[in-house]
Amino acid sequence: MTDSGIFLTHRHSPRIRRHFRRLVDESGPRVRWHFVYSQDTGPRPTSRIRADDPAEVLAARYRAMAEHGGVQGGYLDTLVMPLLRALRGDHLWVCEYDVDFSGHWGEFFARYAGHDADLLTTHVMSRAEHPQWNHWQRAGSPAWVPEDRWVRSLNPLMRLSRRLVNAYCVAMADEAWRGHYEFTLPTAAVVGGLSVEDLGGDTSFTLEERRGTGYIGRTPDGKPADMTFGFRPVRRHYFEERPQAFERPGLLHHPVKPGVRPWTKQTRNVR
Amino acid sequence: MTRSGASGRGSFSGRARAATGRGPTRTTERYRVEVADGVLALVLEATGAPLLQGPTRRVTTHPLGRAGAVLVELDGVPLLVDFTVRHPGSGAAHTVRRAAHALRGRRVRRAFAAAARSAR
Repeated sequence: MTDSGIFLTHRHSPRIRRHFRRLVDESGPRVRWHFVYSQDTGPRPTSRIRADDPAEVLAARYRAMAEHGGVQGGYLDTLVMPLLRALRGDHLWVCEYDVDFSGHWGEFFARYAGHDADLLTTHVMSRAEHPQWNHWQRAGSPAWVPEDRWVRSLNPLMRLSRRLVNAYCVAMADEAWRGHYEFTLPTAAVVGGLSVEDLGGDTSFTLEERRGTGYIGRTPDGKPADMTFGFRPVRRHYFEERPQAFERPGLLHHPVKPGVRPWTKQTRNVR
Repeated sequence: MTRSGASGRGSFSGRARAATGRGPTRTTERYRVEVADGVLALVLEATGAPLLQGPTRRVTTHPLGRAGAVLVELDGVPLLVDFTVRHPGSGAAHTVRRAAHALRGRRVRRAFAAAARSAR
């Protein structure tokens, strides 16, 4: 069955539109993409997907998001999950506008077509592998979840199974889950016995044959000098616009900010 | 393995499809629904791992429709849990089977609600 996916942007521009078109064209029939425009800090974006109300799909997380003042800074799950639940396909992709691939997207998605992991994402590390991660401070889980099973990830590009989308929403019915969804999502998947794999960085969640093939990012040993995927450095042009600026072919890149201010804790990209 | 819908005083074990929210969704999964020692647990059938555990004192149940669906609320968070066995099909024989499944679903739902109530 064809995968489905949402392309998520909080800015509208011809450059971002062209980037989306390349994603659609090169994915071909493998992934059916939907353009989603998040026009404000709330979890109800503009899209053609007929999604259920986030306040019902993830009610406890929705309350926490409202208290926090919006989806930025950890509550993007309240926006994404209702959309994914409404899509067709066994595997559901999320791609933010600032993710790029220095190659043909079709070749990228073909790498994962035969793999049935419930969660494929980046920078998947246990608490022991990345103890200095900022968001552990705000993290919380039900008492029956031991802290040594806590996991973090970075999700500008990820693939979820339909089973995980359902299981995650059910797990989050317990308001004891607290913190960034880059913690709640992979941790709920792990404790729910679902399979979590890294898209191809270098962590204990990366399959041996996939190590270093998806992106260069932080590892349990620290940040390599030639990172292609992380919080920084910021690139200003997409691969399609300046391929020569992407030194490493066939890898994911993040963040690419085409005329968009980079995210900071102060601005949180709130307009 | 416990028979689906089996219950004792304040305890219950059954199989259901479940999802968050109050309405139908295409994204449902099979769970083992258990009530024991004052705790409601939803165990994902595909993995056998518990996903949700909450004290029954924080749980309310409301029957929905004429078959085995029930709206469960944990601290006000809605979950649609459906004990009805559903098979696609048509014809008179299917209608009879569907009615029997609905009746059984209703019975299981009643047992579940009673267990959740008495375990509080």
